[in-house]
Amino acid sequence: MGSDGGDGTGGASDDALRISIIIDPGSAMNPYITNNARWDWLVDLVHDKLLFPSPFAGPEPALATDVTQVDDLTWQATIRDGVEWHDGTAFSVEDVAFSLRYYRDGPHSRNAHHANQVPSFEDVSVLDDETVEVETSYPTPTLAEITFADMPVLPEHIFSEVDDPTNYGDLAVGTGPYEIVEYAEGERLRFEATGDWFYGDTVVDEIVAEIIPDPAVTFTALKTGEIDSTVRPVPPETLGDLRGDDEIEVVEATQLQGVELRLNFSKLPFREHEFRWAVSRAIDIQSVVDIVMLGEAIPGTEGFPHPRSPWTAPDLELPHRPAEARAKLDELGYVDRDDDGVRESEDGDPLSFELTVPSNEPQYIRAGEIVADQLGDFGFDITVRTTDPGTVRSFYGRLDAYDMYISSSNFHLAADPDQFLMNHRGGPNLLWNVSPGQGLLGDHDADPEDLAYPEYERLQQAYFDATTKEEMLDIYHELNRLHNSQPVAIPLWYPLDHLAYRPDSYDRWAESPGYGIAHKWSFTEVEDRGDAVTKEFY
Amino acid sequence: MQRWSHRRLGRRTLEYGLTFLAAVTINFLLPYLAPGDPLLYVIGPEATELGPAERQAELARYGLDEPLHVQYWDYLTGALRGDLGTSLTYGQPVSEVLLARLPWTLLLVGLALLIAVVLGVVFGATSAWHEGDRTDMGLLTAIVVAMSAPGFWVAMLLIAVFAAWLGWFPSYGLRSGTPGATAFQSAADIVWHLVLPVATLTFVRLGSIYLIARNAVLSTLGEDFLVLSRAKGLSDRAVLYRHAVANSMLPVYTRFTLQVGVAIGGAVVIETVFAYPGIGRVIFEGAIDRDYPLLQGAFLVLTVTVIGANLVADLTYPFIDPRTAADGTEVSR
Repeated sequence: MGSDGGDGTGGASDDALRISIIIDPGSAMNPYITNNARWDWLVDLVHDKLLFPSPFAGPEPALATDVTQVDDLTWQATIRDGVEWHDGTAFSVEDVAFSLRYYRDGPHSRNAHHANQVPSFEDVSVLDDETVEVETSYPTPTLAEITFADMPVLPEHIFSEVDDPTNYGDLAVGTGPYEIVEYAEGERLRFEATGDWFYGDTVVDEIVAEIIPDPAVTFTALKTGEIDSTVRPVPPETLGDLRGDDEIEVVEATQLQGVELRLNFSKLPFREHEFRWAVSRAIDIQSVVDIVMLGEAIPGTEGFPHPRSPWTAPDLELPHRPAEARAKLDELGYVDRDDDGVRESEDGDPLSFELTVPSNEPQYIRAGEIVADQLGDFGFDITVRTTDPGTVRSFYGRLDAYDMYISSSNFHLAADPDQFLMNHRGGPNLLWNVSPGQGLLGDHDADPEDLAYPEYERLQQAYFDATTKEEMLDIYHELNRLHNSQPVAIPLWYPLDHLAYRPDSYDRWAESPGYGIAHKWSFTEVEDRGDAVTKEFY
Repeated sequence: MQRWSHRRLGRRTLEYGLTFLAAVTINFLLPYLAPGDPLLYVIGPEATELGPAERQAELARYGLDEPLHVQYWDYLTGALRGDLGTSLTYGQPVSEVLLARLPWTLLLVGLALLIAVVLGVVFGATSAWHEGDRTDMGLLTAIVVAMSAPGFWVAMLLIAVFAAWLGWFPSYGLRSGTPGATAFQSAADIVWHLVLPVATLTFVRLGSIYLIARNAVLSTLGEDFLVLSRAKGLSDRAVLYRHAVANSMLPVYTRFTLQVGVAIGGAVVIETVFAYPGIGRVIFEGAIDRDYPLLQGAFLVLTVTVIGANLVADLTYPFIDPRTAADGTEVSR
């Protein structure tokens, strides 16, 4: 069924650029349904933000031609004149104000917590025909660079009429360079260039996102020419084959993703900061990368969050320190009391844990086995359990369900400061629940008071109090260092993101951090790209 | 027409009705039986980011603030009306998502099963006719080896040979959707895309049909009526297909009807490998995204299909073999 109202047979022309995606985005680019960061590049084909391209490059003027900070709590954005929505309605300052308020007050979405938590909009008002003013609850010196570069602006004339945006299935209407003209569920999405994008000229007339879940079929289709590129990074074992193919080009462009070993901070002994330090220093991360990724990745020894994010502290490290790790475990009272090769706590509880890995990621499974072996040498008894990926994803809100698991994070989860903060508050999420009694804590066995993290809370409060970007960055880097001194997410590797394409079909690809090579600036005239891209591949 | 006794018809209806009710009940209870917050299964991991007021609003929105028996009644009456909730992944009614995918799965599975039955019966009958000689042993060995191969492996092999190497067929998808194509060209395009997935599913399903057909024909070949057929001077082909195979079809038919139900769920791997937009893909993606409403709906469709296939088999047995009208019901044709 296609949201074009037809039978989904409306096809792409032969010269359309076909890019495979991994999973169905679920909607015709409604940001309330297609709300995972992995689809941001597709949503961005249709929608624009106030600033471009993302929190990781730029910022370039977009729907806002200028953004200025009036005082610690107040920002004003000057809105671009003469822009139209794809349905011909004039874009206005009211659309911007509506969007910011809607994200803050409307139904829950991926962008909601960027408007009502970190950061938090106190008030949004229209000053005149071209100026919108945002007052925040606390100083937010990165409001322009992060928040305004992250949230797509919505058409008020459509969303104000929609009862429930999470059920709105029509073809999206945006201001972006491409109009979505077909969504055939489970098959493909088709986008056509509007030809009048305010930012620059597009050089690709038609883009088709083909949905291909299987990695082997994806790269077969690339080799046969059925697709021209894919957002799926080339796995290390396929690299040699594709590099040896004259018709295919392989480039390196970061999607700012990471693979991590997550420890359940609500449980003892992982609740102990020094215990987590010992675990992180006992694992030989470099050897995991050498074996599993054949060396084709940035090792997690460079710390968490992503070392290539412009926001991350430059001096992070997570070194392998086997002797110190053993000494720390001894010092904490975890010793082998019954000579069975497994350490026990002073209460006699063995260091026996389950390490869960998703069944659809062979590299994670192998990494889990290696980590289990390595920790076995330190007196841990780790059982690797393979389960369906949905279960692993559900651990996000299930502190009672796991001891340790391996999963991945994308740029939105791990590469910008606001999300890093968000991940430490408000619920049983990835990194911590910083404040007992603050929000939901889900199912777990811990007394909320035991999860107090005063050192972190102090830094978090300082972050919220910071009035300049420099001050905020210093505090954020402190938070990074604190995390790496006692990580709840131990980074194993950051994929180098080898991305492949057929240069005969299209060769003007460029990197924009977080997106890799598939994003609207890759399809824009080279001279119009500005600072939206960080590397060109032609 | 077959005439069922009212008592038997009533008993069967009650049995299938209870089975359906049990399946619907289990489906309803899934989010409650799974550990953790039911809201997690209804709106996804973002449930953990909700404040108390937002959480209460979401609970009310999905009726989760009602007593369990009220929720169950709503679910039951909703399911009977075709209201299976809203998919988290698609933001659409689950029934719409499934109805859009079901025809494509039926096309894939139906074609594959039909071919598997025809080939399985022909190969099985040939094997039985040549019992113990090289033809039988060759077919038996080849098909048993084939049925041992996992579906995804067969799929990858066919893709490697016929898509990547020879370039005869596309490696993925339902259709390429060439602009301006006529209805005939569009249909031909779909058939072209169907060749490899149908071949894979046929390959996977062939073995069991073959074995059942072979055994059934073998047991029939020793019957007196076949000796009589031969004595009448009928050709081997007529004896085999007109008499032996025709009288051996009941177990094959049973297998076929059961496979219709099971194969729809069993197409998950094939549909995923070939990026084919059927029910199997929906189940795969629903599992990845923990889209419980969608999974519940898909399971309900599978349940109904399996129950329906069993019902059809049950109702039609007496036509194929009047002896199965075991309660003394008269069956006329």
